[in-house]
Amino acid sequence: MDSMYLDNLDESVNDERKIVTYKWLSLTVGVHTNVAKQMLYQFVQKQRRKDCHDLTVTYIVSGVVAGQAGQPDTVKVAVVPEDALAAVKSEMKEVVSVHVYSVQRVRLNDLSLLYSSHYDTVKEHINDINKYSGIKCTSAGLRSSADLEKLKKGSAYQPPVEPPRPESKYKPQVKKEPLAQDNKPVQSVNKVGSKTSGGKNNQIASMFAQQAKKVVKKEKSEDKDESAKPKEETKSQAKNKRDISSFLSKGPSTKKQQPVKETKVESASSCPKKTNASPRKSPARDSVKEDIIEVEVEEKEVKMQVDSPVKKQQKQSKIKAKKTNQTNKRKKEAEDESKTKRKRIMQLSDSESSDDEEEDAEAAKWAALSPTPPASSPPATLDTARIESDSEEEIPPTPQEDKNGRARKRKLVNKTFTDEDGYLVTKKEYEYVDDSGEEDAADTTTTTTTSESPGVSQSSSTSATKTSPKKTPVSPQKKTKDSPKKKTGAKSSKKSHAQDTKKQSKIMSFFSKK
Amino acid sequence: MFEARLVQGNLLKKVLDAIKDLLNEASWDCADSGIQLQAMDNSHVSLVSVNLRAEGFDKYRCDRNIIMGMDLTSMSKILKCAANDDIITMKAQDNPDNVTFMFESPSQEKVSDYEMKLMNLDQEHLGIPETDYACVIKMPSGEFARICRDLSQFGESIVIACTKEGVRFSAAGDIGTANIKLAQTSSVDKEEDAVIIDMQEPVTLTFACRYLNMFTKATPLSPQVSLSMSPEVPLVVEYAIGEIGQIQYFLAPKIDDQDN
Repeated sequence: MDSMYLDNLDESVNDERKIVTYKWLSLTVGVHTNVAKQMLYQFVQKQRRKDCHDLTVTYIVSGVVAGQAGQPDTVKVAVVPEDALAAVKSEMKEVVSVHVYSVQRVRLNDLSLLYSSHYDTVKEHINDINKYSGIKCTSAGLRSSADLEKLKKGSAYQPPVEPPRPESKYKPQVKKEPLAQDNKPVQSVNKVGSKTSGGKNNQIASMFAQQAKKVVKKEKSEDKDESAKPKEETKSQAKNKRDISSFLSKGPSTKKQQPVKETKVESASSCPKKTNASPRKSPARDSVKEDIIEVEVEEKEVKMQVDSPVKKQQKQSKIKAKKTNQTNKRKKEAEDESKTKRKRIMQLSDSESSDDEEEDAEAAKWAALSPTPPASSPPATLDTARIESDSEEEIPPTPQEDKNGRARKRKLVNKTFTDEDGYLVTKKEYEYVDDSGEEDAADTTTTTTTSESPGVSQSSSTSATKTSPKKTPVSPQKKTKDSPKKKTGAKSSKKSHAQDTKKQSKIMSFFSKK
Repeated sequence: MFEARLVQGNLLKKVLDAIKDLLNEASWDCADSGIQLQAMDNSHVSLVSVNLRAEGFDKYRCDRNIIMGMDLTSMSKILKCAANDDIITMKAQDNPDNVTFMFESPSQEKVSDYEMKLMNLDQEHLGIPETDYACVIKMPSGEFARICRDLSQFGESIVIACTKEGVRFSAAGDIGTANIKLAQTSSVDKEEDAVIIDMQEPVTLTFACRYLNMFTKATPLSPQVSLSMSPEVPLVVEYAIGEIGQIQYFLAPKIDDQDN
C-alpha cells in the first residue's frame, strides 16, 4: 500500500508533471486531508533521498503573529514556497503547524496555480467537499425535501436565528440564490423573497390588490417606514416599480427614475440610514413624469410595509398572491439578468439604472450602519479576509471603462476565491477583455460558478448571506464591488470560447506604406 | 482629360455594390494603364483593391494621372440611376473638382449625365508584397457566399483549414459548432463549378465573419472566387470583374492573443 501511493504520486508529479496539492490528493485518492498531507510528506522525503532536486514544495504554515504597537496577536495561515519557509516561520511568534501543501516539479512563480491545480477536482466533489476534511459540524444535516417544500410555501416561518447580514452584496445575485434568501431572518425579506411557484396569471390581479391595500394602509405604513428593514422593501419596490412602469409607459427612462426614487428615499422615511445619502445621489429633478413615478413608488412602498409581519396572519391570502407575483417577477428578473448581466454591470458603475439606485439605497443604509468608511484601504494581502474585502472595494471604478467600443482592453480585475482555510483570497490581475463579445458570455459563467462552487459564489455578491461577521461592515461602495468579480466570470467564459481568444490583427501590420 | 467608356455598365454598378459596404470613401487612381482603387476599411482590418484595366474599356483616355476621391455612397447612388444595360462613361478634367457619369441606353435614345463633387482624401496606399501563397482555393463564388452566411450564424469568426483532403470551414459559438468541408472536385463540366485546391502546405487561419460577408457582396461579379492563404499573412479573396479586371480583398487573420 505504502509503495503504491508513492508510485502513484511519483507518476503524477514526475511523469504527468502535475501540481499535486494535498487537497487534490485527498479528493482523488479518497483519504483524509491529514493523511494526504502525510503522504505528500513521505513522498517528498523519498524523492529528496533520491536526490531529486527540481522538486519544489510549498508549505502551509499557520501560527501566531505578534501584534504590533499594542495590536492584539493575530493568527496567520500562509502558503509559502519552500525557500520562504524559514522567513515566514521566523516572523511568527509561535508556529502552530507546518504541512506540505503541494508538490510539483515546476517552480511556482504564481501561487494562484495552486488554486487552479485542484480546481476541477474540487468542483467535482463540491457536494461532499467536507468529506475528508478535519472540520466537521455534527449538528449540520441536510434538509429533507419536505422541509424545503414547507419553506417554499412560506407557511413555516423561520424565526431569526442569525443576526441580520448585509444585503447589498448579495443583491445583484438575488435571483440566483432565491433559496438562500428564503432563509433570511428579516421579516420583510421573508415575505418578499419567499418563493412560490405560482402561475403568472396572478400577476395583474395581485397588482390591483396591492394598490387597494395601499390606499387603506397608507398611514400605518408610513409609521412603519422606520421599521427594521426598510431597505429590503425599497429594493423590492424598486423592482416592482420597474416592472409596472414598463407596463405603463416606456417614457420615463431608468435614468430618470433613479433620482426620483432617491428623493423618495430621503423624504418618505425619517430613518437616518436613508438620509445618509449615497455617494452617487444626484439632485432631484422635478419633471411631471418623475412625480408620477414617485407616487408609484410610494404606493409600492406602502403596500410592502403593510405586509409587515404583524399583519401577516390576517393577510395571509393576499400575501400569498403577492408572493407569487413577486416571485414571478423575481424569476423574470433572474432570467433577464442572466441575459443582460453585462449590461447591468455597466449600468451599475454608471449609476444609471434603477438597480443601481436600489443598491445606492442599500449602500447608504450600510454606510450608516457600519463605521467602515468608504475610504480606500491599502492593497490586499493574504492575511485576513477582512482586509481583502476592503481591498475589493477600492477597485470598483474599473468596470466603467469597458464602455467604449469593442476593443480589447487590459483591465485590472479582482479574482477572489476561498482558499482551503476558508479565507477569501483576492488577487488583482490584468486581463484582456473583449468588450463586445463579453456580455452574454459573462453571465453564463457567473451563473455556473455560483451554482457549482460555494467558495466562488461566496466571494461574489452572495456574501451577504454569509454568516461570518466580518462581512457585516459594508461600505457604500460595496455595490460596485460585484462588477470586477463578474468580469472574472467573463474572463473564464472567454477562455471557454476559444474563438474569442483570438485577436483581430490589423492589415497595416502586414503591408507597409508606400 | 480623363474619359472611360464601359459598355457593360452593370459591371461598374456591381463593383460599387461590392465595395460600398466596406468603404465609405475612396480614391480612384486613374492612369494610362487603367483605374485602380485601394483602400482600407475604417477599422483597418481589411483592404480592398480594385483594378480595372484600360484595355477592358470600350474607350479609355487618360492624359495625366489623376486621383479622384469619391464618396462611395454618393457614387453608388448615382450608379443606381443607370440601368443594367446602360453604357457608362466617366469623364473628368485634368485637375478635377467634379466627375461626370454619363449613362446611355443601348438604343442611344436616352442619355443622362450626373456630375458628382470630388473629395480630397488622405492617401494611405499600402505596398502589397508579391506573395506565393501556400494554398490557393478556387471555388464557386455562390458557394463561398453561402458558407460565410451559414457559418456566421454560429460565431464571430470562421476557421478556414486547408489540407490535402480539402478545405474545411468551421465556426463555433454559443449554439454549437458548424463545419463545412469541401473536397476537391474530381471532374466537372464547367470550370467555375469546380473546387480546385492548389496547396503547398496545409494552412489554418481564423477570420472575422463580418468581413467575409462583406466580401461576398462581390459575388455577382464573378462565378468563381479564389481564396489565397499563407500562414500569418492576410487572406486574399479575389473576384474577377468580367474581362476587365479584378477586385481583391485582403483580410488580416485573427491571431492568438499573445499577451493573454
